[in-house]
Amino acid sequence: MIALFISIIVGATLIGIGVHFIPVGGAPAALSTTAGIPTGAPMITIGMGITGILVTSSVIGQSQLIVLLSGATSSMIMMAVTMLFSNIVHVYGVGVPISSQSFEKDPITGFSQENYVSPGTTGHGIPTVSFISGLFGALLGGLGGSLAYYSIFNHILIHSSITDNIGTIAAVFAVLLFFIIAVISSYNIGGTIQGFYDKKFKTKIVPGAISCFLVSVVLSIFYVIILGGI
Amino acid sequence: MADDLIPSQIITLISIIGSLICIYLSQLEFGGIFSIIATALSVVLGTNTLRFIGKYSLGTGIPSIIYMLTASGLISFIVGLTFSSRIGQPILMPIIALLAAAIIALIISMICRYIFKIEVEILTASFIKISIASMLAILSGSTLIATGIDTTLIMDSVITNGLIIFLMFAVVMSIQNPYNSCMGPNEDQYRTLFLALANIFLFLSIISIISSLNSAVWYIYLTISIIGCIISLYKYFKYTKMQAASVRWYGLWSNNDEGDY
Repeated sequence: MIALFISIIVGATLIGIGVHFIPVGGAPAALSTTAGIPTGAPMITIGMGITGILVTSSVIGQSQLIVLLSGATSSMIMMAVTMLFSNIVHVYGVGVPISSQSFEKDPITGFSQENYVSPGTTGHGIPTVSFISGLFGALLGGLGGSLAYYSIFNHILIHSSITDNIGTIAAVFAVLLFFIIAVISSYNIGGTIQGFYDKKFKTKIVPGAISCFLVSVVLSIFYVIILGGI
Repeated sequence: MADDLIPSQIITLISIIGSLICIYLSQLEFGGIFSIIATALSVVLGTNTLRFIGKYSLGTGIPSIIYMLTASGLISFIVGLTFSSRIGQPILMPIIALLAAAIIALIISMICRYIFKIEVEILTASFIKISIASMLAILSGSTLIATGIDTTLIMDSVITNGLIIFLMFAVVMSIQNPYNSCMGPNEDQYRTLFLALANIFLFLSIISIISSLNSAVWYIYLTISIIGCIISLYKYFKYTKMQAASVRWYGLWSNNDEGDY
């Protein structure tokens, strides 16, 4: 029971921290008037989490390391594909250069951003450092989701009388974590963020981590009540 | 937004008490009719509350409020289910679930207010109301499938086979779609609520077909749902035409300085 409690707290907090790394632009990014993924933080996080849990549930019989890593990797692949195609649409469809006003120079490629931002906007597309940051966020989120899934699955398998459909029940509970934690984190972000190199990141990550920890403690208590009596 | 014809306090009171009574009555013969009434009442409560909280910008889109609070409603429903059967009082299941929904929503709104500094007065009350409404809607949908509030039957026929996620998305779409469809300066309470009713009756017709797993009279529930959907859609079209006529004759925007509609 203690192991379940701790692993749900760790998993949910990892998801919450991971959301802050994902570069989201919301509706303005869909109009190419700001940088980031053109959807809200909850939507992209839930999509990423469901992908991770889907792959996790298909390898659940393997060792713990393989289960956790496959969940994390599949979330990263989903995030990478989303960001790559968003950039392709921006460059070849809309016809704007990839740039962001949140930082002056991309630390990885060394490209200056200021000259390429269209007047009246705050950037477009996903620059390289934001891309890396998004991958890192997906790694944390997928790891947290698959950790929660794995611990719930094992708890039901060992301590409960239910023998079939264990994967379904564990997937339901793991997906619900994403629903709540992703929205809490996006309330903390409040609009757009461009990953860990953004100036906004430093002020947002600490309250975000604290609040996700608090929410995950509450959720873990409820989960322990549920899974203890199932 | 026009003045409300039905005050939100009355909707809250009638919905919560009416849904609870209907959920308990769903154990009777032909009790699925009460489940349908309970689902419709709780979805009306959710949409009516969203009409007020949806006006404030909380930092992200409107659908995410419903996603989060319906997820917490679903967790509290399962808490009520397992906890009540654990203490040996299955009859207390809706009450425990209601309390759990209120507690989760209260903690989330406290975090929003004191850590994220979101200064919205109606935040706490609205979060609690939407969480309770979604919990009641999911619970009454489950009682329609399981023909009663028997905890083991609900566990077997709704939760372990994953149907609960379908119920959750049905509730999310029914509560959230009407507000997003009808929002704007000329939003009207009757129009939004009748669209919500049309949505949930449409989903209830699918849930009625699923209830053929446990119930022999599922076709009665299906007929009631389809008739309810048609009547609600007819009313929705009527109010839409009335709103359109008022815009045509009096114009959309008001002339006073404060932008109050």
